[in-house]
Amino acid sequence: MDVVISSRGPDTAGPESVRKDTRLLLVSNDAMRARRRPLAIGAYYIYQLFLSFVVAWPISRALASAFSGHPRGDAVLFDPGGWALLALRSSYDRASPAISALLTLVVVLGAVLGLVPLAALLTSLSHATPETRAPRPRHVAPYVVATFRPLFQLLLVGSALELALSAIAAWAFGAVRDAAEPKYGDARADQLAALACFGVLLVLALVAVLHDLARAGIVRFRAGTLGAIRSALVTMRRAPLRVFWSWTWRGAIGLALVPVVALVVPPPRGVVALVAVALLHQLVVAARTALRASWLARALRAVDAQATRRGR
Amino acid sequence: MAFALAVSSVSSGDAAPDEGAKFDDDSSLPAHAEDVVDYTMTAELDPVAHTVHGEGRIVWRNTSSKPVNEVWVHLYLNAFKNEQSTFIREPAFGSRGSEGVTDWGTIDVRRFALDGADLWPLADKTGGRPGDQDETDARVPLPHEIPPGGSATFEMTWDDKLPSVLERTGYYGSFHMVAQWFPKIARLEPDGRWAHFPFHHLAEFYSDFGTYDVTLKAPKSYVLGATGPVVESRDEGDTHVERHVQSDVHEFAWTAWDKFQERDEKMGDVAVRILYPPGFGYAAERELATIRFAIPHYGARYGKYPYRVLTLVHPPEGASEAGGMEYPTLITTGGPWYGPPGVLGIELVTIHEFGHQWFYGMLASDEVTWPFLDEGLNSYAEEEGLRAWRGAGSVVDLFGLKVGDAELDGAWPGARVHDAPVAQPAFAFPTGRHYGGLVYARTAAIFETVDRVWGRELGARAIGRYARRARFRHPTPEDLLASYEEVLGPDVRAMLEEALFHDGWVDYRVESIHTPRVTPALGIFDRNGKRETVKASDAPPAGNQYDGFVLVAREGTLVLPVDVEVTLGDGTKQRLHWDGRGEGENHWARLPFHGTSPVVYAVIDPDQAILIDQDRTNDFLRSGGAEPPSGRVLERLLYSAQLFLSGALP
Repeated sequence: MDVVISSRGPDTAGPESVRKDTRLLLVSNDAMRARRRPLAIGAYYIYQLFLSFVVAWPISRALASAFSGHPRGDAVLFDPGGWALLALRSSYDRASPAISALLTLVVVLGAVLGLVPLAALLTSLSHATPETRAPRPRHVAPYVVATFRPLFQLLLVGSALELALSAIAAWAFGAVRDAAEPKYGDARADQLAALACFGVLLVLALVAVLHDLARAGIVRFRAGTLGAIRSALVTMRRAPLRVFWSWTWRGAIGLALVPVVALVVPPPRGVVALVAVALLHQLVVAARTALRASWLARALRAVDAQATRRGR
Repeated sequence: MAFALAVSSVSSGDAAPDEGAKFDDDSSLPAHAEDVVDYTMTAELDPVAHTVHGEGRIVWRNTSSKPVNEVWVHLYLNAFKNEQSTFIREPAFGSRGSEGVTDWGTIDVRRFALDGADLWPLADKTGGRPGDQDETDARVPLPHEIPPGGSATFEMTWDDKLPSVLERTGYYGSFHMVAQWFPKIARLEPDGRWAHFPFHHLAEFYSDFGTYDVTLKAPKSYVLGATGPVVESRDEGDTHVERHVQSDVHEFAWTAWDKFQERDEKMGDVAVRILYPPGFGYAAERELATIRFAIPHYGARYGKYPYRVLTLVHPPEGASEAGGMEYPTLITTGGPWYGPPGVLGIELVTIHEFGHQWFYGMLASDEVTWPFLDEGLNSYAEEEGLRAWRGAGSVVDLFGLKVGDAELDGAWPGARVHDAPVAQPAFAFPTGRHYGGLVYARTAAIFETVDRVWGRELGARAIGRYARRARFRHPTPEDLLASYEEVLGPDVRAMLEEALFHDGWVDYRVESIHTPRVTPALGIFDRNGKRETVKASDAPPAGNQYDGFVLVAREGTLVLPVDVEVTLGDGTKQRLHWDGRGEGENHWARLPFHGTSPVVYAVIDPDQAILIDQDRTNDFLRSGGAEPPSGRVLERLLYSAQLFLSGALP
């Protein structure tokens, strides 16, 4: 109920396919906050959970069946020394091509299909019903359909660029290391190479930020792929540090949560401890999802502010 | 079978059982080796040309029972001379030294003289092997016989061109590891047979004990490290001169680099010195910590470390082929300058190479013919030491995941255990993977299995007795087997012979569980002169007694006693025992069970004592009841997949 309706949005009408009763309005810049859309974030989290389940379930079933004759079941895989883990070595050698194929398939399909919950989340963050409520799935659906194509095109461009930069980072590491090692030795050469690699990774992060800004532009204003990229570049140019910092601190917290929790949490013993650890792990994933949503809301505010400025 | 014969024919014959116990502690340790060959040499390094000019004298004694009219001289550096060497020609997939030579290496003997007469022009540089151009094993005819007990003094001059670092020796930039670098007389066995051989790709070395007195020269900016303590050190103009003298050893290696960092530490009465690249202080500290543990631990198990010095050399990463190698009082290590402390690769390589001070150094077995005696037993010592030091996670101890060195050794050989015996010459293994999996890992797993099945205390006594009794000698497999037989009995010896010499293997499994409730017998019975028919409907209700058996089976040729743990329906556990033998020719047994609850699970070898069990996934069986819990793996996999996909998805 607290959503403020924008009266200045460049496109308040929504896609042409949208029916009158499901039409959404743009929310004001300041009202685009992740905390106002917990259900949309939950849906995004559930999508990732589902995909992860697709990967984890068959593998865990295979492992469980291999140890179903043991009174402690597949918990023996965590026994100190690792005897059970190592007993599966030959099975792993046989299964690894199938696991790799499954992972590749899930990542590729998941990335494409993931545009749907992403568009839904972005739409939800940036739009509201005329009654100033959070949009429901029936409201969001036509917007998702309308934005899928440009988002997909953007995914192709962005992924290609990100893959190329990853390859360049790997190459840069090797090249700098090889060049520096004879003069500076292994340790210093590794550090210099990491520095060079870090430089390329910064560019990669910049591309990731631009990618999200462009996604925000597509959903917020139904911009085309090229228009969204242009808008993202302009947005970035106007406030590069502020925007980049917004992405960085959220990403850093999300990244740091994983090792911190891994170091703090002891291996679970017993069902209650296992449930507690599982809940804690899901809290970590949920927190990371919320941080991602928070960044996307920030990206929406940034492109909206830029568009508003241009509109003046 | 050929190797069984070999075992019985290589007995050293000094393993009398009543004598053995005195080697259970250090009170009877021999103080010195028999001094067979003394090398007094001077070596000058040109670090720009990567050459070493050497001059010296060898005093050699004939300790065999036969007169000698020739000597065999090993010229190992010629392994890197051209593509006709045995080393280059032998395939060794999965082994060090497979990357190829980028700069060839040679050793050229200029003079090898006895009584002033140069014998080298008469030497057969290719060892008399027709059509073979390998020049690592030369025969030098002598102008007169040297009788048993007699000696000869050879004067020699030679020049080395070091190869690009490969197979433990060579240069990388200004780093030089100078190993296998001088003309070295082969070992003469007591029966008068020369133990000589070309430099094989997978094999190492074998030589006599003696004293090495070596003066090293290198530019002043270079830091040197070498076998034995420094007894003299001075600068002559721009040249640094260092003299090292060490007795009771059978090899001498040295290193020189103008970038070495250095740390010294006194550990007990051993002066430990580590040389390492700039920026590797963290790795060096981990290596020193390993040695702090290892010197007293190995001393207690295998006899006190007898030398005053120990030098650790951590080569630069580009010279990793020089790393992970052992020489008397000098070992080379390896590993990155960074790395999580829970991944114990640096500790593993350090303790492994240190262990070679016993299994190769003081127990100077024939590494070419019986590589399991050095690499295998040393891998066992490595995993025992790491476990004693770091516990169950002796290789990986990270985020709750603990992987042990012993468990890795048990799994590593895989199906290759059926391809070749463990105890055979190094060059007889088909690939480096077989050599590594069988000689290193399989041997270690076999001896760790003995410890776990028959008890660590007895296992330690057996290996300790062998190590002390064979100190400063050239032990054979028989010496090892004799110690185990004395301490643990003939069954263990038989098992070891089968496992080491005959591809012996074993796979235990639980075949079935049958423990039904005890019910009254049905049918027609003649009792007290009357005939009674007992029907199911007439029978009294069954009690809560269960009778039956667990059927266990053993495949393979090794017989080891084993426990079977059964879990009953009421959650209690019981241990049954099987001696591993079936009746007659059978390899199975029904282990009887009687209790107040049926057996739901049976686990054979529940403590994972038998590391060499070929397949551990058939060691357990469930009979009815619900599946055991499986949530932990799903939880861990799900969480991992979520973290991975959150980075990969839009």
